[in-house]
Amino acid sequence: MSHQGFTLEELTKLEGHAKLSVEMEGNVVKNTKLEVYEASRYFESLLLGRDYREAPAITQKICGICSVVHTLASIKAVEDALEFTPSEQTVDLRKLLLYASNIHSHTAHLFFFALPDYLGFGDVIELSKAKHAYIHLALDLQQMSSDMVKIIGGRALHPVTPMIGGFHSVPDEKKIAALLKRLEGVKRLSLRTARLFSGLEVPELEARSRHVCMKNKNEYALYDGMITSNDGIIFRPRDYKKNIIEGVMEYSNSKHAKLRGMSYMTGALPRLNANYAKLSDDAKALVKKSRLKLPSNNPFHNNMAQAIEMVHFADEAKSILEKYRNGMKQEKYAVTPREGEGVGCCEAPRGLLFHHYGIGSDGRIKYANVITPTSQNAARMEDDISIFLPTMHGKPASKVKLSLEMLIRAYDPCFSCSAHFLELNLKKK
Amino acid sequence: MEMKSEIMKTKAKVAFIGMTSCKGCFFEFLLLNRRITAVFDNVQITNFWMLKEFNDKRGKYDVVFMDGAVSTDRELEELKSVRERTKFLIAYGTCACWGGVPALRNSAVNYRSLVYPQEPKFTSRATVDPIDRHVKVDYYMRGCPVNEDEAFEVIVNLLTGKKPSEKEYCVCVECKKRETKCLFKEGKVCMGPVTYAGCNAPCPESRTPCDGCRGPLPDRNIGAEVQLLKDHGITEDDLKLIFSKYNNVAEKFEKVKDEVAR
Repeated sequence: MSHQGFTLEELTKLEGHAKLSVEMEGNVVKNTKLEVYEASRYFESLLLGRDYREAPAITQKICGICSVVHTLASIKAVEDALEFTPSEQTVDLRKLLLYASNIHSHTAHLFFFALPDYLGFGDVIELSKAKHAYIHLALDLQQMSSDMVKIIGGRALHPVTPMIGGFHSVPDEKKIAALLKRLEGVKRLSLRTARLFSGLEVPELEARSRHVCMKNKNEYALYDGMITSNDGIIFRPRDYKKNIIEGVMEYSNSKHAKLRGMSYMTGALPRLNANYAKLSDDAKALVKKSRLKLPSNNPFHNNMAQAIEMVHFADEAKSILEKYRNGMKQEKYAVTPREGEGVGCCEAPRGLLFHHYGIGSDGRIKYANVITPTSQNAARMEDDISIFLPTMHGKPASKVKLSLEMLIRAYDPCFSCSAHFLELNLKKK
Repeated sequence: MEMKSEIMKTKAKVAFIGMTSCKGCFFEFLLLNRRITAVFDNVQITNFWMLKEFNDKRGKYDVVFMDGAVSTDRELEELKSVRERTKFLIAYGTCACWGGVPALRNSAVNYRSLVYPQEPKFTSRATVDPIDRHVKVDYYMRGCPVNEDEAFEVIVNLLTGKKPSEKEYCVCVECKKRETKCLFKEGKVCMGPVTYAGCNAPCPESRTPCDGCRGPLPDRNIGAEVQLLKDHGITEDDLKLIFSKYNNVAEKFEKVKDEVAR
């Protein structure tokens, strides 16, 4: 590391294009900028004037890997605006879809992006060529979890069956049996994954940050609940605007959100910290055996939290499927357009996701706003880097670069969601 | 053919490059699952930022999977440069082939001020374009998202020196093959009759109407489809929205728009 400063380009293995600039004076970080140069797609404006029924199919295209949760948050926002309450079966099937897709997304992130760093491989291609035992674990888990999404949603990415009110088609007895079969494999491989990740040694970082997630009294919340923070803030998703302010950074195509003036973390680690008591027995046992001491303030632990969540989600999915062993019934959905405003919030694999629409009496969308997890995490990532970088003082540049990349990857950022590719620009004075 | 000798000599250099899109088509590629290890063993992936730490961004490529639409000057510059260094360029996914959902902004009003109260450092071009508006394309892989089986077929074809063939028939053919009951018979409105097949019709099979994500077939009977939709109560205004959902691009779509207006 030269004292004149240096530029490291290309942080990779991320969903999307972004770049990181850090300015330092001696060992003190003066400024950290996470610049997302992924092209803006202006989704909110694309919805205006369109029929309310089109919102989920268009907004799911915000993101390839979390399209399921965009679809569901969008549907929930429309239903909230139209004051429609979905049936118990519909909510169960939506939760099932959410569990399967979160397992799929966690698998892709943990194995394709995060794991190679920990095992000392450049990337998953090298891991594959080394015929490493973990490559088949990753691919089989991805296959089985994405199959589940496909069976329920019609497609593994950009699901087509979910609609305002319910589903175009629901799994019959045969499909429920097929789902249960896949789920058996998912549970087995998730347990292996969780043991693998909870044994990994991660860098130390005590970030003491604000953690925000969804919580409800019945379960480890993904589908609905109150927004809560680890420092006592609690509000309804409908009141998000009073609490979360999204700022535009002149250097980034992603907005940066703050909660009552403070950066915050959202995602698997905040969820696990807040919802530990609601975990399934197998998932709890894993936490006890792991290096993880909850609550954890180390963002590197987000990967472990994701792996433990996979086991819990598999258990939750099983209890839903068992309730419908004889197949689900195709229901009729009486949704009528009316003027209204609604907010839909769900936990995406990488954190809280808000969709907010205004609908006219003609059923046309007249207002839309979407807040993605990555735009909420962006400011927190910058703050974490400012705390973490000085602890790397004296380490070789290659090690610094890798550690910073690992920190950003731990957040599982999705820059196509937030407006995608990371270049590192480190300025030293 | 020439490609065979060229590509088979050494391991083909393959790149996956992303522009304006949701990146879902790359995740669809990962869904090759165990087949992907065969791809990794048989080709040299020299540029794929989403998976690789070190990427050759200046070299020559045998095959490029070009994802996304062109919406910034930076992307356009990269696209042109990649084309010069590439033997076989694939427009990968509907955004690259037709403009896709991002191209909806070509007809959106005040899109900037609606999304960003004050403008960040924007480099957006005035329009969002499919890549063949700027460079020659050797193969179109359509779909939002693409179908991973088709992606595998294309790679196997290229490795064995065959030019992959495009499926020049409509989604209805695949519904018939799967014995899927026609959605029109349930009073639903479907774009299958005028849309490129190749997806194996998963949407109608799950009782969801085709929304035309693979784009309009060249020899389609648009007039008949328009009449069918009107018979099902679709208004003129909505016809335009339905037909432009994935291909809101003037020259490709002009003919369709004329027929819709008629």
